[in-house]
Amino acid sequence: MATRDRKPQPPRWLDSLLEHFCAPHLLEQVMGDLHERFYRRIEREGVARARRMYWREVLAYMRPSVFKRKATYRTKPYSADMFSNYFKVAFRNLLRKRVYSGINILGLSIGLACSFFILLWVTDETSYDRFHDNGDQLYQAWRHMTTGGQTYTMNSQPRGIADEMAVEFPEVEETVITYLDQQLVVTSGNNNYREAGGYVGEAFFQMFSFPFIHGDAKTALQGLTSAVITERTARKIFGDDWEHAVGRNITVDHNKEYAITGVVRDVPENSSIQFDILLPVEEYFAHNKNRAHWYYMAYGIYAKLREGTSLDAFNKKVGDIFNRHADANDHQIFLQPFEDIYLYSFYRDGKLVGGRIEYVRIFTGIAIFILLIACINFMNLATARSSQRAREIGVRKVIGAQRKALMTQFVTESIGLALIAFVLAFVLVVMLLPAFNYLTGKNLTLVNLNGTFLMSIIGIAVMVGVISGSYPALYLSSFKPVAVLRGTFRQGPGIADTFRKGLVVFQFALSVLLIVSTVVVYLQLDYMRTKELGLERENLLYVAREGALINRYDAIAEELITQPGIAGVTASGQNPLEVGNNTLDVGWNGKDPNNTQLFYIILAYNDFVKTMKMELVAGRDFSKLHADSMVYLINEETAKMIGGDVVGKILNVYGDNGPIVGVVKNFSMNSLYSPIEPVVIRLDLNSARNLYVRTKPGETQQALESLMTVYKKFNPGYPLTYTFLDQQFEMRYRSEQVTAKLVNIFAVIALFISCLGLFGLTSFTVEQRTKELGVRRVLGASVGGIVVLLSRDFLKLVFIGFMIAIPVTWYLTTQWLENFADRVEIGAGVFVIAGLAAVLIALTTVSWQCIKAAIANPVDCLKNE
Amino acid sequence: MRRSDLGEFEEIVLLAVAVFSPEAYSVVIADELEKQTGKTVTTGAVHAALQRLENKGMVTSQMGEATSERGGRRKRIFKVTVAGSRLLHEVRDVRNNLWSRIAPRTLPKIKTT
Repeated sequence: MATRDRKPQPPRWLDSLLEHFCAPHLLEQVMGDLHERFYRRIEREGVARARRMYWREVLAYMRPSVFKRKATYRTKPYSADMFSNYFKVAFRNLLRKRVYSGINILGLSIGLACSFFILLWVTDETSYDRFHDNGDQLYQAWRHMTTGGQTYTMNSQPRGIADEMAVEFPEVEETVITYLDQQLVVTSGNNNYREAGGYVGEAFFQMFSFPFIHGDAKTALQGLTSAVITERTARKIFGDDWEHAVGRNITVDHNKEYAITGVVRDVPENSSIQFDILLPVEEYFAHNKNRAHWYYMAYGIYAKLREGTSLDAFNKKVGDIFNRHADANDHQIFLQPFEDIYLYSFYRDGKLVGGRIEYVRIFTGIAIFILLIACINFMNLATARSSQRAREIGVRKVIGAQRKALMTQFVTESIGLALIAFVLAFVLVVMLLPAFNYLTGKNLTLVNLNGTFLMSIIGIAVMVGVISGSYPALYLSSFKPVAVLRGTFRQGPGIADTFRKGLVVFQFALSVLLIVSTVVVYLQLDYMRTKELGLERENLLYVAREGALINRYDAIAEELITQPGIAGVTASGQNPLEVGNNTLDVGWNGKDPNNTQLFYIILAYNDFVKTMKMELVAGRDFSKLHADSMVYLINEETAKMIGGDVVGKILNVYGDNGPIVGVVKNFSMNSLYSPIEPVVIRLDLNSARNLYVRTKPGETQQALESLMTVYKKFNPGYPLTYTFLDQQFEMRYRSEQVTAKLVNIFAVIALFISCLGLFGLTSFTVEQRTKELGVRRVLGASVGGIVVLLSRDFLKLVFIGFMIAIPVTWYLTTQWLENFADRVEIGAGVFVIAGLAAVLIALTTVSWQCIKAAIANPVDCLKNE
Repeated sequence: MRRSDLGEFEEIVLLAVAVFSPEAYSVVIADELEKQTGKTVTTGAVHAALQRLENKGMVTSQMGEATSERGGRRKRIFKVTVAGSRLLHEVRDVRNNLWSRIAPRTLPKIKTT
């Protein structure tokens, strides 16, 4: 309350409100007017009313014309002069503090290089199948099949789907049947070549955009004798004369002549449809009439829908197309956009759950993590060293720099640093690209990079600069010039310090997370690789049965087995590690009529168990000694289902009765992701399309020579190609292996960058406390004591980071392991050891600096004063 | 609307500037208008009107001297320009002209106090 002898004052808070809002050039007159009015009112109407009216008066000034600053009152921190000064100062700082600059730039450029690699990889992954002109109208047909409470989702289809879909639905512009991934023997003159490819419908080239060098896309696959080959195949077959390939004849599989009607450019690597030769599918069906049956599901079917067709609505209509035509009730047909399939093709229980997109996500996440860690280094070092720049900030402020100008300065500085790091990163990427390609099995180049990519990497670099510069800018520009220049400025344990500690904790939590996850992934993959599969996949190879191998199998097998280096010979239609065929059509006496279990079928021949090196639980192998005709082998799962003593029981498969002659131990017959299911192995030479040969251990070369000799003798017109089962197995899990390796490398890099930051912080602290340490030493502190003193704080942070990371990592890795049917046991030990290793590395980083400081001669640091 | 058009309040403020010349500033104008109309007139409203008038070229201003009741702050003194004068005259002529043409006893009688 105002005392009587004091002049009454207008409400202070309203004045300060106005001071805040009002433009500086108006403030004097406005405030003057208000106060004068206030006192006039007191005279006229009394203090109370004057006060009450005052807020109304102030409120009347709350209008844009009063807020608006006069243009000349604004400082202009963006002038070129100031900028050149910023760069000069930044450059001097850079040179003066070489260690810190080095740590910053090194960390940032490694981080940036990693993210560029990841971006390259992601760009390539997302470019798959995106080059077709009508890409957004193309779809692939899939089917859900529900049996025994399980839903299986597949993209192999019977041909009827393609025919009926095109007829029944006006939305469908075209459909095409494909039967690809075949190995065909192409003969021209006296030369035989093995080419990958297959049979496709006539509309194939109108749907998919594979540019023609010679020939016409519209008519190329018409008729029954046309053939389209790629440029590389044309060069291989016709040499320099390849430009005139169109019109020339080739023989395929030694039985049918085709005339080349087109040569297309080589199929790009980022196409999921790969081929070197394509033949008309109608020709295939002309010779294989039974393979057009509704239950012969072997084809890839693609559809082109009219523009503007709603996929959801169409899928509702098309769903029962199979059931209607094949008199079934367990199938649901649907289309999936063709461009999406490469990244999204993993279904579980009828639901799309992902695919390669998961790798894209994982790597994008890692790239962000690594950049974040590098940014944190920058922030920490910048704020830790702030006391050294405090004076500069003080002087700038006194001369008239505003906070905004200072923030601009620091952000400019960090962007500059990020751009230097960017250049280094680019050099790193160019240098390491071959290694990266080798690792990922990709063929990435920087040659045909598009503008978007370049813009995005420069954008990333600038963003990193802004992010890492923003916090130092906020913090440094807040210094009070008086405190700084008086010389009493000291960085206490304030918010900045806590924040810095928080960042170190966060950094190490991320690193530990990456390291431990890597170890878990590695252990799981190693477990899968070395797991007992139930058969020996080493020293086992197979050859497609073609030519004489079809008709004279027995003679060839007999001759082969006597050759040096060969331990066993059999025939099988399926790779026992990857059995695709399954059927409901398995019966026995006493089978539960409600049993809807799917049985996996292998069609094989004599000596199957012996050659595969499976283990017999009961009974015997297929053998020519028994002159078997229709007999079966089953695995333990099937035996369990049938129950009792199964050997000798009669099994009915595909309508054929025959006795079970043996039970083999369960083997991994599908995928390491899924559990082992019931298997029936049937003696069926005609359908056993591959010849399997087991070589004697260590005599692979000898065995191959023997195989070559026998093969040449019986099958002179066919080039011999063989596949080793273990190599194929490795290939199948290659993307997992590559992911594991990459994640591994990135994890180590993350830890390395974190340690760089820690190194910088430690050496800074040590430098700051040199005198203190000297005094301590003189007073008798031991080296050990000083090391402990210095490293304790840091280790505490690293340890907290470790503790935070463990539960998160545990959760994430458990989630990932859920994907596998067969999981490695991850004990607590793994977490502890991997985490402690990270901590230990951090400890080494810190203590090296500390020990150096502790053993230094105290005289050196004390003599100066 | 032409730049030179005046709102009613602006016109009154402009007249008030002329009345108080050469010592016209927002406080005295606001006080006078409050007295004349019996309604609260804030200096803020007057200030805004003066700003607009200045933008339209009807008045010019310069900083005046400081007084103690203003806490030592200077005030801004306003003066009517030639354009402002011309406009005021025009407005008065139009009004006078119209008044003179109203036939006697056309307007309903009111009690004058």
